Amino acid sequence: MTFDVFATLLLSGIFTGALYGLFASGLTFQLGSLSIANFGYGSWLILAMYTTYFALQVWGVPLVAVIVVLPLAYFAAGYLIRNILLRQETLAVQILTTLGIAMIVDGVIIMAYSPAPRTLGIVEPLFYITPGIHVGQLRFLAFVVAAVALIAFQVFLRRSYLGKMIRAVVEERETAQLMGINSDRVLGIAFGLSFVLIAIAAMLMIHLFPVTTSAGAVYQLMSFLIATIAGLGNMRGAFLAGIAIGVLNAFLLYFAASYATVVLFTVFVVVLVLFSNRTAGIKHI
Amino acid sequence: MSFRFLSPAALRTTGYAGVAALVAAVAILPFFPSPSVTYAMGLILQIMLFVYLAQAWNIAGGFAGLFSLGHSAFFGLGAYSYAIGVAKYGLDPTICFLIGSVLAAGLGVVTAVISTRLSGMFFAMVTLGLNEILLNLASQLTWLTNGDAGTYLRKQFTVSAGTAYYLFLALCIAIFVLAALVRHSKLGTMCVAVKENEAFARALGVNPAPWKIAAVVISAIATAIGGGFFAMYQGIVMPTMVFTFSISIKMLIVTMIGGVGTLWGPLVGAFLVLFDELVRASLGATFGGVSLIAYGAILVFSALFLPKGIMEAVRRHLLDRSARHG
Amino acid sequence: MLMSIRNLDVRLGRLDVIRDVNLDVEEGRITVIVGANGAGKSTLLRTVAGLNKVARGSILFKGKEIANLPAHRIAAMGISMVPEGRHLFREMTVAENLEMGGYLCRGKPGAMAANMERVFDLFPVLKEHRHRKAKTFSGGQQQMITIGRGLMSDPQLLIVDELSLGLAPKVISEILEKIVLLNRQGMSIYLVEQNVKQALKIAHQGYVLDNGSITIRGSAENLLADPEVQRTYLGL
Repeated sequence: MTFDVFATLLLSGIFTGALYGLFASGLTFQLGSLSIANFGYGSWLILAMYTTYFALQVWGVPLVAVIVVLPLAYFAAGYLIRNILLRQETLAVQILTTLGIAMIVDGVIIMAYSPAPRTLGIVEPLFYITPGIHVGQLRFLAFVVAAVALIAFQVFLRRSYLGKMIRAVVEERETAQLMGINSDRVLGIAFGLSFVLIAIAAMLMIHLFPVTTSAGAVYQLMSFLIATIAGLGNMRGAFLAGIAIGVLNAFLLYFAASYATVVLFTVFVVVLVLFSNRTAGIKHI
Repeated sequence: MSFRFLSPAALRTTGYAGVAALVAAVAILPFFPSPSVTYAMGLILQIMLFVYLAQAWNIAGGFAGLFSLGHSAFFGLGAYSYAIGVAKYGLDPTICFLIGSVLAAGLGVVTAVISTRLSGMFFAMVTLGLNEILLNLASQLTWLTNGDAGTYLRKQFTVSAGTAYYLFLALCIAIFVLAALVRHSKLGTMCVAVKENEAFARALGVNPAPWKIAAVVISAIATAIGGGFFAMYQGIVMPTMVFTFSISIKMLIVTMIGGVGTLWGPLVGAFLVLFDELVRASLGATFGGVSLIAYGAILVFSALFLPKGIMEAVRRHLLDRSARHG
Repeated sequence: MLMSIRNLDVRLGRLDVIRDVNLDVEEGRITVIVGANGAGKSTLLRTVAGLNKVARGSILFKGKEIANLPAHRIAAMGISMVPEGRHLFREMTVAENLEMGGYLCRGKPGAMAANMERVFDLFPVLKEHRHRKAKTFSGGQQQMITIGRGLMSDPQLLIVDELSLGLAPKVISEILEKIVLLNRQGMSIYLVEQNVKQALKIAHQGYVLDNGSITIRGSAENLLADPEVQRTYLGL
């Protein structure tokens, strides 16, 4: 393996991994801060990717409109789901409810979009750092957007009043109520915001990858892996872990394309078994 | 209305009688051949398959409380063991079932040991991961499994629809007997005790690990056997047919809606399968989305309002009644 | 009467924790509930604040029924509770904790800053370190932050649950002095305390809660002099 190939793979992995990280950070926020085990997380990504595809290719909606409307719609969906269906905290109820919702989403996808794989088929212009090392421009752009989105979210949580309210409610739900804060509404908003992250990730990903109906499970497991490595609720960590997984995936695909998924999932199982005790219960954002 | 008819004892006798009648009806159906009967038999076969699988899942998930989302891994192991064994290596079917059982038991032990280290949510995720690994292996190891094209079984290794029908009926009866035995054996009592209050059980000096492992292994082997017979009936085994999440989730839903941890829960939940098959048959594959949506909606509804399933709601209702009129 | 509780029954799970409690909190006074551990004092406060459900009875605040209203609505009506065990937002600074406490006054321009100044006047040590994270402070100072946070919403009734827990006697006295100061400035205060002697010394009205019911009631003076109280709670 030449250095050129190595560097190209590395860069490609970093940029793609950033997208995984963005997507996974939503899940890690849900898991860690909101204590919601969302087993239907992947399906929502797929729905958003299909919707973006259809909006752009089939319905002729301008990209700007999609960028504005989809995140708003997802925010509303997240808010309503949390405050109507996910008020109970029991794990079994959460898993089953989120699974059920995912099945409904999957059904909607099949009925509205038909289950064929879709791709925007964009030929990605390449940017050559050196004659031998190249970087996909779209990938790089996606990386920047993902990083900006996450940084903006962090800043929001740390500096804005609403962000502080979210952190307060997450830490002490009852006590926040004593100050007049409607904890349920705040948690709904927080959940809605994590859904916005899904929408953003999806809009970026459809420009780079095709979408299939079976991909949901893979993304779901990948997000769980990233969330576990990073530590539940640690969004910054999720971004970095996502990048790590992206790089790992890039090299696996190069060396053993067909077995890449197997290795990845084996890593997943091993990491979960070894590290989940460490990460369980960590609640920082 | 006299309350005597609704007493728990009376209801239980009626229940048993009902089940016996149901079994008898299913058994004699093939003796009245007609197109609609053939159609009904196909439907009932599907239902019996999932009742069987649901009960198998119940032994691990319901009795021992191991919430597995990847039970299709055992199913696939059993199916492929049989298919590869007879088609590729010409082994005797019984040996194939044995191999499948051993493999499933091995995976079961691994799964159970993992469960002692992980909390519910992580454990569920790991079971998903294990299933995905097997799915991908089945796809990739083409020299063994013929990849996505699937392992094809020649006529002599398969059974006709009629035989399969009685085969699965027998399997259903067998697994209900097995579940009852497990439930009322020391294993069952131990599992329930551990499930109800693990800390308390530990304080009494009970080590939950071997009991959990035993329950999972029994469940795994039963599921694998089901997979083997499934292969026998289908005539072909493809990765996405057997290592699929939709089988895992069906096993789970049927039990949870019927009543997880109860003996008859899987049977009650079977009507869900009936509903799904009817919807799918009448609306066709393009409307497959509808059945998914319906499944999902029922799952959400039952998770919110019937978290322990129909049997539990019925049982609580009976308890209330007997408390009031006892 | 600022607040009246009548025939209150509260159940936790299947246990009757509060049985037929009747008590009054007068405006501008310090009312104290004392009793042994597990008597139900905190449950009573939490119920008033809206964190527990009322099984039977009524709680009237400024003439309005507040029993079973959600906690955030009760807070908006002018009741502010300082919870037992402090429950600070540990990762946030003092200033941020106070900002959270001032949620209800966000609408009024300048109110947040003004209320924060008032808290800093009361507890000068907090002003100095207002950008430090709450978890870095000592127990007594954390109690001050919690009380300050409770004052930020400009309440009409301040409820304090067991402020003396885990604090040194000197610190307790300091904080109780501030409570008295607040009261002299017009704040109505409703206190639950394990430390019977010090609590009754600063209070106007007192109630003894025993096993979920009020057994002795009266002015704080009378309670201090009561032989039953002296024997059971003052060790005399």
